[in-house]
Amino acid sequence: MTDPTDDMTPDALAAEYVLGLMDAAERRAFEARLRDEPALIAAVRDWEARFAALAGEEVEAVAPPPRLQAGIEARLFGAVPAGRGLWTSLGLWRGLAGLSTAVAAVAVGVAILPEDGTAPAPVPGRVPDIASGAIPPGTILLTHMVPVEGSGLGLAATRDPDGTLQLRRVAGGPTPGRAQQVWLLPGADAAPIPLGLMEDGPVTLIDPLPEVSELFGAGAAVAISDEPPGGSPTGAPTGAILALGTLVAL
Amino acid sequence: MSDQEQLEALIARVALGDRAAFSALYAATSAKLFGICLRILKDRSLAEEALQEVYVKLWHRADRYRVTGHSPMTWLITVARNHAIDRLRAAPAPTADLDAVAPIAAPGPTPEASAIAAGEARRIAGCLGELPKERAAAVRGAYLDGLSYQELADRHAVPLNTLKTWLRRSLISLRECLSR
Repeated sequence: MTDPTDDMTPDALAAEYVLGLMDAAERRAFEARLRDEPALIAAVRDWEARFAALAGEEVEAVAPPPRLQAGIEARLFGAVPAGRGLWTSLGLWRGLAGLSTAVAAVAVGVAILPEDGTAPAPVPGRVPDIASGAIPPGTILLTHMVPVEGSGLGLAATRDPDGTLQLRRVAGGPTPGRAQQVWLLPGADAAPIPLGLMEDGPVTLIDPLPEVSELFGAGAAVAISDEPPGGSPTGAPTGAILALGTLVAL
Repeated sequence: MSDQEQLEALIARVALGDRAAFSALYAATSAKLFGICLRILKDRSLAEEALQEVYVKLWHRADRYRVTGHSPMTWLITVARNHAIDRLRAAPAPTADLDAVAPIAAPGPTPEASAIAAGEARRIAGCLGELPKERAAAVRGAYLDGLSYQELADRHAVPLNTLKTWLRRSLISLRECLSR
């Protein structure tokens, strides 16, 4: 029987290569040709695109176990303390502000009222409702667009005069089987401080310790990370950042 | 931005070493790539291991993405699928990624490649539908399940050379149909 490759067009050879059907020697010979034959490279690309489209359509997506992502990052970035890693990301996110590079974007609005209770009296007719965007004068406010994992998680956060942090869900909800943990990022050289876990309901109230409360201020940031049930086992963020807002005084 | 533009932007950021973009890319694409590894390797722990290696590879190779001229999903699926095949065959010499083989100045995507997009899956499925059923199944088995010629011959209960001949003829027919 004659070798059927004899009558194979370069294009069919490219398909056979993309399918992974060549033996090692055939593969080496074909790859040597690829270096010199741009047309063959184009043929390989076209087959890759066709079969990838088929796989994209016909292969079921299966969510990998959450621990894999941590494993990948550990391999790539080594045993970086999670806080450091988060901060590296934070710097980059600041650089990303205004660029819509995220798979999905989230607005986190954070408003802080002065801690001494001298919050300006609400102006008549203007309700201090963060979610609606009507902010009383003197309130510190920030809105920041950040990447988010999964569906959009929109949050508005206010800090009441008594120090209570109030986080309102304005878009998105809890992640089934996972916790959403709130962090204060007090400054570029400080580790994130865990503030508490998001409730499943629309409003989460957090009462930080007085020494933590003092660290709220312009330039600090609040972040939400994806964590195992019960929150990060290490005291530092271990999962993906879902939402992030830098505190900016207006 | 379209999904495609968003993924391209993420890959560009990953190429610059942006870990947040890497995390977002993982979130957006890992389920599809895990599905592909699982389909080929048929074993959860092997597929988990392969998926981790795939993303390590993607991190290191993101700067070469543009050279391939592929759409983001084509590139991601191709890297994942080739890696899973190499794991499956325990190949001593891994399948070359096209970006490593192709010179930097390789021509961009052919006009045809540019057209390969959303509609392409339907087109190739349509053309596979024009092949005799068994032959279409063999082509799918080769790509989606990573079956070798020998495994395909066993599955279809035909001699190896017969299988090779009809698979190769099927590829030629498929190509003709796709260029109509």
